Amino acid sequence: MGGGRRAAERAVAVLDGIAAAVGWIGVALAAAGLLASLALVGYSVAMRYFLNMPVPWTDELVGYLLVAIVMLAAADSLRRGEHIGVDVLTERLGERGRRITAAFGLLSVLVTGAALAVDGWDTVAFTKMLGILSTGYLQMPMHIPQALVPIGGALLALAALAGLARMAVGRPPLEDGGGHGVLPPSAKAE
Amino acid sequence: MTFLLILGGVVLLLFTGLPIFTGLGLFSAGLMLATQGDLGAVSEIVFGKLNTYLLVAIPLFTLMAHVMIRGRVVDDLYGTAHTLTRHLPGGLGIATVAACTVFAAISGSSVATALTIGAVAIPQMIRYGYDPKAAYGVVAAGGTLGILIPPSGPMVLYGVVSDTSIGGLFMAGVVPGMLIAGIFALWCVVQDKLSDRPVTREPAPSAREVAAALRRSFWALMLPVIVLGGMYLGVFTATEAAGVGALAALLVAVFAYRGFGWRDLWESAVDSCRTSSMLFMILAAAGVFGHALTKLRIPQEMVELVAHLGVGPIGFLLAVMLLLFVLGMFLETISIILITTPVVLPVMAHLNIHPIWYGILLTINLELALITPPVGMNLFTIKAITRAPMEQIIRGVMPYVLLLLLGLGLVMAFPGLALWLPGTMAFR
Amino acid sequence: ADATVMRISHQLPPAHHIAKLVEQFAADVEQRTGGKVDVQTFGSEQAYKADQNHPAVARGQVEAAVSVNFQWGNTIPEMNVLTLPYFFTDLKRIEKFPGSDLNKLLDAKLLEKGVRSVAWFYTTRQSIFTSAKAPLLKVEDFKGIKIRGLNKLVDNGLTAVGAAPAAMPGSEVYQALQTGVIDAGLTDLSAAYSRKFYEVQKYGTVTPFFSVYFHMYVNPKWWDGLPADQRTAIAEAAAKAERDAIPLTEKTAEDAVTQLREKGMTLHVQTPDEVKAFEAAMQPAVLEAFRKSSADAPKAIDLANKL
Ligand code: NA
Ligand code: NA
Repeated sequence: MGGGRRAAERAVAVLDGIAAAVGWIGVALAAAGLLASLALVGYSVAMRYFLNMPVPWTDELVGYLLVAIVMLAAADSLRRGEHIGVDVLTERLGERGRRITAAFGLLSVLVTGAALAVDGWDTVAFTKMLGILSTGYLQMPMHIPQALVPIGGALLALAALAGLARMAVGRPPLEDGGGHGVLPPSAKAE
Repeated sequence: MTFLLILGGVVLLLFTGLPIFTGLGLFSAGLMLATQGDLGAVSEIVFGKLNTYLLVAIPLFTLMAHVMIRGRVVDDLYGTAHTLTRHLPGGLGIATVAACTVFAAISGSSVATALTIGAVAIPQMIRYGYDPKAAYGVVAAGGTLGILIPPSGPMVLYGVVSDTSIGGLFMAGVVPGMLIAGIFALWCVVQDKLSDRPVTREPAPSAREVAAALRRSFWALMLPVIVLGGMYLGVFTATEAAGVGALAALLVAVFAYRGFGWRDLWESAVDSCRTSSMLFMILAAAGVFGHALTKLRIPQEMVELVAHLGVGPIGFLLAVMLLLFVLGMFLETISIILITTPVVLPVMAHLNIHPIWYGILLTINLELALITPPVGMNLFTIKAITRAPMEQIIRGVMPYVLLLLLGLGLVMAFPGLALWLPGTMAFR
Repeated sequence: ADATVMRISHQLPPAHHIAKLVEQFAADVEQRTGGKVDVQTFGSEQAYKADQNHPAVARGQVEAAVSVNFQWGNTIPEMNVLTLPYFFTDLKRIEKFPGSDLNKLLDAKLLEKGVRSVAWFYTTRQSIFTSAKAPLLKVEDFKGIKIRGLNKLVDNGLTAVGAAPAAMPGSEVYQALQTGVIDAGLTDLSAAYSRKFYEVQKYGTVTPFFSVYFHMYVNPKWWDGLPADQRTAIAEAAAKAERDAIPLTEKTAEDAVTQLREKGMTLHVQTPDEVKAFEAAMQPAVLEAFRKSSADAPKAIDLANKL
């Protein structure tokens, strides 16, 4: 019994480690994308205003980067409990009730992530088959940025799966019980 | 009837506490599956909602807020606000409304306004003894001014869809924006007077204290000047203003304040991504929900229903306002504009309702949408900042829902509030 | 039996003359089929964004859509042939286009991309260069001017005269012109009125810079599965709308000149000599880039020249 439980815990720890690492890579890429967007906007303004040489492709690229920021950071946000739910009723539940609603929430993320991954992949395949290019300057094959949606969905599904696995072995569903929001811990409201 | 069933279903699902984006997303996907037999290429809709250059202002303003917090630029800014308003009842509340009004003139987005000001104002208000609920409420509601005071992203969208003058809409938003800001500020005073433990008032600052405070926060105060000035002088667009603001905040944090290193920049970026990802997943899911409603032709049928009642302009407007309010509980601003405006317009033209006036009434409704539960983007923004229970945030915001309704009623009763300023200029 | 549903998605605001034409088409189809075809229009991007209409129709998420020809420019380069500077703006060409070999070539290209084209709505052949500080009368006036561009191909013509084309979302243009982020606008003549550019721009130069078409296309599988009488009725209504578009667009453009002047804009309508000078300066660079853009682009030019 005890050995089986330890093995289960080890397996969950491995899965959780993978999900954490993948989530971290996702959010790191997203952060790089955000800083790149910042640089692109600054570059675009400077080129147009100071050098009178508008750059016609930055807007399009920033749009794709926005998809990347959202989709790639979503899994890490889930691990840190950033994704908000209406907690008006669940706050009133006991320990058991909270675990049930938490599991239901993770399950809903698993299904949503899987749906985005599967449907998103269909979309990518279809766009690629038709050879659709963007209407802008980059002439971007649209299936490339579109692939961010199924990738983000898969990341979300993995993070949700890891959360459910943690719950199955009695650990809290989220990493360190949730993040601190925008405020640094020292400035927290309560 | 279908409409009520759908909304009831969403409410039930959301109150189980599951993440809002999965609640809206799964519900919409289920609607599509039931009505057209497939998922409706939902990922394509999600991609389209996110691949929107204009929305980049939100993560960039988020980054600006994070940089200002980590760089401690914020502390001085609020210290100054406190010095200037500490002798007034509800002083910091007034200062927060004023800060929202100024930031609203920089930003076309309410989420960006609530986020930037909220990250600054809420901890400080609590530190100076305000009830947390009052702090959540004033920031969530004050932030909504972002779309009523020009520039305004939603007004641009409405202007494009309805062929209404964007300049005229912007001008028309100024007076109602100031009026509602005034109502909010007044409420801060009243709230403090009504409170059983009002915030301790301190003596008014001396001229020397004021000068010292202004000197200390000089560079922080220059940020809105740079952003506003650059935008109105044609150096950059309203969307680019977010990027320029973040860059300027970065420069101020690094050079005027020191101690802001690469690590701080990286962590600010990571935190901004997490917040933005959460907000945009909800935005995309609400977009999918709106898309499903459109495909089921629900807004169309509601408006046709009202139009056939033959109730005249005022009756029609009241009914549309009610519809907007109810939709606003569940959808976000972009979806509401896109799915209602094209169906309302023909009736509006027929009843001779002024499109600029309607645009302002619509925008005030969108402000309400941002703070009405269960789906209110500014509620989520406050939640992201503070991690407070949703119930506290909703309670804090409730008085402001009523005050916004009051503002809406005033602009309905006195169209001149919206139409006078554009009327004095070329816009008609 | 239930009515056949034909959902049409498009990007145009309800007041646009082509949006009104689509509504007329919808009513016409319902009348011709005695209500057996229920046409539902979804304008103003309320259902799909402009560039999502193509995959939505190809995948059968909606039955039909109306898109602007140059939106296809990167995916189907030949679609730009109608929008080359000073090339397809002769009314005779526009009148001969329906049913022509050029029309057939473009329809075939669209079918390769999964949609069947059913009608071409001529939308404009009159553009306007707008500015706030000084009028843009001569080719030299464009030197160093920041102007809102159209797309990569057409912008070659603007760079050829020394202008600096900037890209920005349509919704930001009004404000950018107002604050001076860009110096000049380039838009369809009637759009300059409906988008109220006259509020922020003093000068306008009316020029036959390019033509634009909005075209309607349907899901091929849905189309082939329609009962023959319904398909005929839709095709006839589409052909009628296609014909109606020409006088409608001409009238709209004519009205716009008067309306813009009434709003206090100083307009200059280019003389034939001025048109020739602009053509000589702006067309070659674009034509060259267009020829290189795909194997069938030169053929599209030849077919257009036969009209
Ligand atoms: Na604003
Ligand atoms: Na709401």
